[in-house]
Parts: sequence; C-alpha cells; structure tokens
Amino acid sequence: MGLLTEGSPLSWEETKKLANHVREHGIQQFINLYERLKDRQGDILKWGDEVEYVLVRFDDDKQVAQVSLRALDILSKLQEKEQQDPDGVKSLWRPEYAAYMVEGTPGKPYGGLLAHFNVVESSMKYRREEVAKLLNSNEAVMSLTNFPRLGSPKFSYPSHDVRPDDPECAAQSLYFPDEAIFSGHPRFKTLTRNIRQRRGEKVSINLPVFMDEKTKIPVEGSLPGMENYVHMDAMGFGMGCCCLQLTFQACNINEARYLYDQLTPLCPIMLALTAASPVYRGYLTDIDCRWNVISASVDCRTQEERGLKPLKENKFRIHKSRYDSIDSYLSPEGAKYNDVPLTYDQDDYQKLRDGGIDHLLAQHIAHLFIRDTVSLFSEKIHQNDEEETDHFENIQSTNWQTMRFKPPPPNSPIGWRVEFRPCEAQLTDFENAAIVVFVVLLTRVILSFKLNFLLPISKVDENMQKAQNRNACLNEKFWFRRNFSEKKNDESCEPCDTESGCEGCELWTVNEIINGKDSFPGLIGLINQYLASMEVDTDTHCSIQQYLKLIQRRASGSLLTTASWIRKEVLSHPDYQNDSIVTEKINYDLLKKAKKIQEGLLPCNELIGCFMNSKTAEEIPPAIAKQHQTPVTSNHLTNGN
Amino acid sequence: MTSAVFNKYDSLVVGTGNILENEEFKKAKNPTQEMLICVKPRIIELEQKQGTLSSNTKDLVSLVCDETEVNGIENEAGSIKIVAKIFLNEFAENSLNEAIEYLLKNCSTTPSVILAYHPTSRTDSEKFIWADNNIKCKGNFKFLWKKLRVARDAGIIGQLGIADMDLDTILDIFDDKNFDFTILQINTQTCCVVPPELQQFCKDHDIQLLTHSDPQVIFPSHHLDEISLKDFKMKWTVRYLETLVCRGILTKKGFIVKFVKALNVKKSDI
Repeated sequence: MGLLTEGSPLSWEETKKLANHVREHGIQQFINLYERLKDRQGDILKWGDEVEYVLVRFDDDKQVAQVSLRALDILSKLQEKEQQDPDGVKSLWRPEYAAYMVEGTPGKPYGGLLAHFNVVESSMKYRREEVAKLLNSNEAVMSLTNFPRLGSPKFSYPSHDVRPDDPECAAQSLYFPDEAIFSGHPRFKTLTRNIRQRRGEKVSINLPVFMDEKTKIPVEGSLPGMENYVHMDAMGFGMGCCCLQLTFQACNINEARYLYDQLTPLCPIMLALTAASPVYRGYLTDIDCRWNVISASVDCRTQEERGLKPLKENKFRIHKSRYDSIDSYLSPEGAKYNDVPLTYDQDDYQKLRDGGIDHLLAQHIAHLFIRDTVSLFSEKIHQNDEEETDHFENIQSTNWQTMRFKPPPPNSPIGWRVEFRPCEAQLTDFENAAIVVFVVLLTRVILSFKLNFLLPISKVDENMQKAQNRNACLNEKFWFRRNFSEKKNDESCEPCDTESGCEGCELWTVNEIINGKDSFPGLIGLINQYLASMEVDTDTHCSIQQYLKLIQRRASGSLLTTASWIRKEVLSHPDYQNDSIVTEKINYDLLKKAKKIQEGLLPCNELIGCFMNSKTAEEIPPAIAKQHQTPVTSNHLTNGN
Repeated sequence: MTSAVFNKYDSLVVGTGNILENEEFKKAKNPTQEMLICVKPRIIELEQKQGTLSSNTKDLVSLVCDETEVNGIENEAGSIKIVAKIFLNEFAENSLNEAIEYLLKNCSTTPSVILAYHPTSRTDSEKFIWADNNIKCKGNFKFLWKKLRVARDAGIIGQLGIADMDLDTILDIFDDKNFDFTILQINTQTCCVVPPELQQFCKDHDIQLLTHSDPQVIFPSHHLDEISLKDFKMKWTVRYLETLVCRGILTKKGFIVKFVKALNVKKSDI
C-alpha cells in the first residue's frame, strides 16, 4: 500500500514538527528528479499487476470463518526465496496493512508483446498456490476485497480484545484491535496513530445499511443522526481491504501524462464493473465498493480542513481525503477539463515553476504536498536532495488516488509509470487476469487509435460516487464522452455546468460503455478492432477472448458482479433473517463457496459463466520470443510503491 | 454501375493511406467492411477530381503517402515492424510482384509478407478449402512461394508467412521440407481448437501460430457496385500493419488494392 522504509518511526508530535521539512525537501527532490529524468525516452511497455489477499481460517466444527493473523509468519517464508535469488523468483511478496493480508506481484514485469497477456493468469495462479502451500489445511488464501465480518466480534484468529481507551493503542477502535494490524513493520501502526492524531479524533466511516424488512434501526453502533448507517472507526476497515492494481511503464513522460489522463474517466466505470464488497462489519450495506470506506479510513483532515470549523490552526480547507479520486489532469489535452479548483500552496507551486516544471505538473505536485507527512522515520530525516527522493515518496505514497503518476526511481532503469488503482479484487485468478488484461489492452487501443475519453474532472467525481451504489454496474448511468475518437484539438466538448450534460458528454450505462451504443462500438469493440490488426498467437487470442467475454457479460448483466453475487448468497441463505445481518454461519458458507469457486471445484455460471478455461501459459511461445528478442530485465515496476 | 470516370481505364490501383486517421474505420465490424469503409472515400475522391486524372494511360494509380511521424507520440525507429498480408483470389504471374512493388512504396522498413492465396473455384466463388484443392492450385502456390523466396533472399522483403493452410497441405506443398515461413495464420473462428499436430509442427519449426479474422475473399465482387466499379474485379489486395512491437502500439494500417476491368481478366488467370 505504499513505500516501505525500515527504521524507527517518530511520534506524531515529532513528525508534525518536521512536516514543513518534508514538504520543502520533498518538493526540491521532485524538482531535481524532474530535471534529471524529464527527457528520458524510449522505454518499452512493461507492466505488472498487484493482487492483495486475505488469509482466512475455517473452523469446520463450529462453522466459523475468521481472518488468520499469520501474515508475518507466512510472509517471512514467502520472502526467503526472494532474498536468496532476487532476480530469479517468479513472484514478489510484500506486507500489507493488516496482519491477515499479503500482497503478491509477478517476479518480473510482463513485456509489451500481446503474448504476454497470456502469462498473467498463470502468474496469478502460481502466486496463489505459493501461499496455499504454506498454509494449514484449515486455512485459505483468498482475494476478497473485504472480509465480510471484519470488525465483528471474534473476526480474527486468534481473537483479541479491543482497547478503545488505552492511550498506547494505535487505532483505539471499538471493533478493530491493534493486533489485526501487521506488526512486522512499524509503518502501519504509526500511520494509524498519526492519522488519528492529526485528525484530532478517530476516523469515522459510515455506510448506509441495506434496508430489509426486519433491519433494526438504529443499526448497532451507529452514530447519533446516522441511525441507518453502519459505523466503523478504524483505518483497518479501509486499508484492511484488498484491491487489484496495475502499473505500466510509458515510453516517456508525455505518454505517461497522456495515459494518466485518458484512464481517469475509466476509473469509476472499472470500479462499478469490479464491485466486490457489499458487506461491512457483518452488515449488508447499500454500497457495493470499498472506495469510500478506505477514503474515510485514512481521512487525516482536521475539522477545520473538512470545513466544520473556521480555519484557524490549519492553512487550507481540503475537499477530499488523501485517499480519493484524482483532482487534476496532467496532459495538455486534459488541461481544459480541470474544472475543479485545486488547493495548493502558492509558494510551493512557484518553487516548482521556478524549477522548470510546467503549470499542470507543478499544480499536481503542489496539490499532493498540501498533505502533511503522517509517517516519518528518524533515519530518513536528513537527505541528499540531489540523489534521494524519500521525502517526495513519503508524500506521493500517502496520496492514495485512483491514478498515480510515478517518476522513475533514482538510479534505476525503470521509466515513467502510471498506476491504475480503482479495481476491486475478484475471487478467481481468471477474473483478476481478465480485468488487468482489459485495462492494459485499453491503454494500447487508446494510443493506437488516439481515443479521447476526457471528461470534466467534476463529472469524473460524480461518476466515482455513483459507481459505488448498489448494483451501479446495471442501474447507474455515468457521464461518458460521446465523441470518443475526435481529434485532440477538437473543441466540441467544453466543460459545462449544466445538470443535463453538455454537448460532448451523455449519461451512459456501463453496458453501453463496454458493449457499445449507436455508432460507438464499445470498449470491447475497439479492443477487438485493435486485436484484429495485431499479431496475436492462438492461445493468447483464446484467453483474451474469454477475458473479454467475462467483461462483456458482467457489463450487460448476464453475469453478476462479485458484489451482486455476494448479496445474492447472503439474501438467499436459509439462516438470513431479512435483517441485513451476515451471521457467522452465513459468512462461513459464503466463504466456503467462494473458496470452491476460486479453486475451480465449483462452477459458478451466474458469476463467471462457463469460461475459466483460458489457455494461460507460464511463458510466451518460444517462436514468438525468438522473433522478438526483448531485453530480459529484472526491474520490478511495482516494487516499493 | 461503373463510374464513367473509371470506364476509360483498364486497371486501377488505389491506396488508402493510414486508415487509423479515418474515424469511421473504428466502427467496422469485419475486415471486409473495414476495407470498404476505407477504400470508398478514396474512390469518391478520384471521381471528384476526374479532370486532373491522367488520360495518357490505361492504368490509373492513386496512392496516399503516409506521414512518417506517428501519432504525435515520440518514437524510436528501431522497434518499428511492418507486416503485410497479400490477398490473392486469382492466380496471375505478375500479381505478387506488383503487390510487393506498391507495398514497398508505403514502407519505412522492410516488411514481412504473409501470403493468403485462396483461389476461388468456379462453382462456389466465395469459398475455397485447401483440403479440397487441386494440383493446379498447389502448383500455383509453389510458383508464388518461389517468387517470395527470391524477394526475401534479395532482402526486398523480410520474413514470410502463410494463411489458412492445414498441416497435410503444408507437408504436401513444401515437399522439399524447407518450411521457411515464420508465421502461420489461422482463422480465429477455429482458434480454440487448433489441431495438436499443427501446434506441434509449429513448435518444432519455430513458426509463430497466429490468428486472423479475415474471410477467404476479402473483397467479394458484390461490393464493387458500392464503389462505382461494377465492371471491375479485385486483382489483389495488400493490407499492411505497422506496429511498435515492444509497446504494443499500432501506428499504421492501410490497404492497397488493384482493380482490373473484368473483361481484361484473361481466362488463363483464373
């Protein structure tokens, strides 16, 4: 979930005093790296995925499923291979926020040939099996976006008491004990404590409950005035969720900025399509996605910054949490769609401009730096700004946005990269592969066909909120650009204020966006058009077609989204009392079934259809590798961020 | 109808230029439709400037030279790759050389060439199955292949490929066991059931087994009326694709087609 530097964390009071130091040097470090790397050219496509997993423990006698707090133990074994052979391993493992989570990435990035799309699922399978081998027979590794009963009594194994009144406790949560935070690295508890202390109170996450016939109001634990909401009070409820991310390398800084912008309007669409988390703290909610939960779970803004009190101590009124959708486009094409005023410090901005950075990038960086550091290590305070970038990364990696624009790391062969972060994790490797392949294919289509999906940022924000509603994939309509392939300099889609839309954008369903409407062939149609023009080997073609069919059918509603499937399983469970409560038994049966589906032991026609037999392979075909001798490297694109 | 403009010509070579610039092509649902969408405006354009067309020749040639810059996105020349597919439905000794000659005018680097030779039979003009073929077709293919080998050995074109050939036919045609093609294209409709022996064959000979979605007759004659060339027929079609290989980006796609007056197609060519 972010940069991991080893060391001794400072207390919040010490960290707070150094906020300006980090800001000043972080900005200088960016100016320096920009100067060094702005002209870097000619990087080929390399990309990688990141899948996060939950370790689940099943107690078959008691019919209970709990998160297993064994990540530290499992991770140390997973990382042994990497320590022995850093360049030869087929997977890389990193800790995540929770003591029941692990994050896996491919050992090496995938290359830019179409045949590489066929190794993704195989890599994901390998990773899952690698973890599974280390587990006890009653445990499972599951790519669940959210563990449904997270924060309910005894949700973890071993179980721990909460200590809301203990000043030493990082979260002070009523539901989420500190023991469920990963203890192998000090960063996670430090972030938890510092975010709470900076905010001046515990974080507050409130999701509307799914109102069923017998749903008890007020919902247990709900805040006054928010009786219909499921309340959560700890960073773990958000950062303890899993997601599916991908990072790809652009050929230079301009392509990175261009793709960052073009993928931005697709974030809400992909969020709606991958929705996988309708249950929180044991309650069925009216929300299908994790996004706002994580956003609120790390919302370190003070009351002043949130606009609840007049500004006195703080500098800015800040409109979003540090985990949220992006606030500005970076490419010249995107500039005119930046219709939301950006908050930033004028001096920081000017310093960046004076450092030779253009307006769009300068305001982006200055906007990232309105956040204070919330995690600082004593060893990293004093840095050589010419060579090191830790202060820049400190702020960059704690701005968790839908997209991330990533400069090349210092002294590295890695180029400018873009990270795509909205997607929710799906149950199976097949689905997760389908989603990342779809998104990376789209970037190739956008570049080849010069497509233009830009929408005013305010409309992307609006879409982002709608995307999380129950069954948004089928029921909501999203702003989408009608003239998807117009020339870059075309002026026909001006930002506008009208509610009914503007000349250039219309409200479309996910189905219309994915499968087409009128003369728009749909994202799938465009991808197929592109594929028909590219050299694709037979196995890769077969796999890609299965992936595209899954996306097509999820969009059209002929298959359920993961969230809808989970909902259906809960609502149709014999024990369900029409009270929105997901009991231990319902949770157990749901996860048991999910486990069988992920293992391919139980076909699930309503969720996956009759596919799941792609021709994924460990390697690309030798004849293709021979034809396109691509340089083999061991640079880990996703490593460290 | 054949437009009066074209009536005075015996043949017509039309290039579309880079169709990625043409917004309409993205809406095409199949390769034939795509070709039609891209060739049609060029024909209309020619009709409109009839006065300026050369009247000294019986053979009209109108190509569009592609710009060399790509998509406004910076680019390194080394990774550009061009693959052209030549569609022939009728055998003619000079067709292949002619097609390659025009192809090279549109190439910034040596193209690989895939030969899709699908002779139409007289009874069913839209269909040809290699397994049912006759000795003449195979002989013709061998003749064409020899020409391709010469062009490749001379460095005029790069690697060679073939389309839609089953293993028996391959073994039959390449009876010298010199399987010197690096690409075998098969139709995507059958892609998920590639015969294992064909897969093994490709593996053994380092041949890339690739998919395509092209019909055997890329431009059926009933479409000629739609482009005012009813009295003509397609002699050959070249479709070229330029990609930045290691970035998965398509930079150019275009067609070059030769139409000839139907009457001028000699019987011996068929």
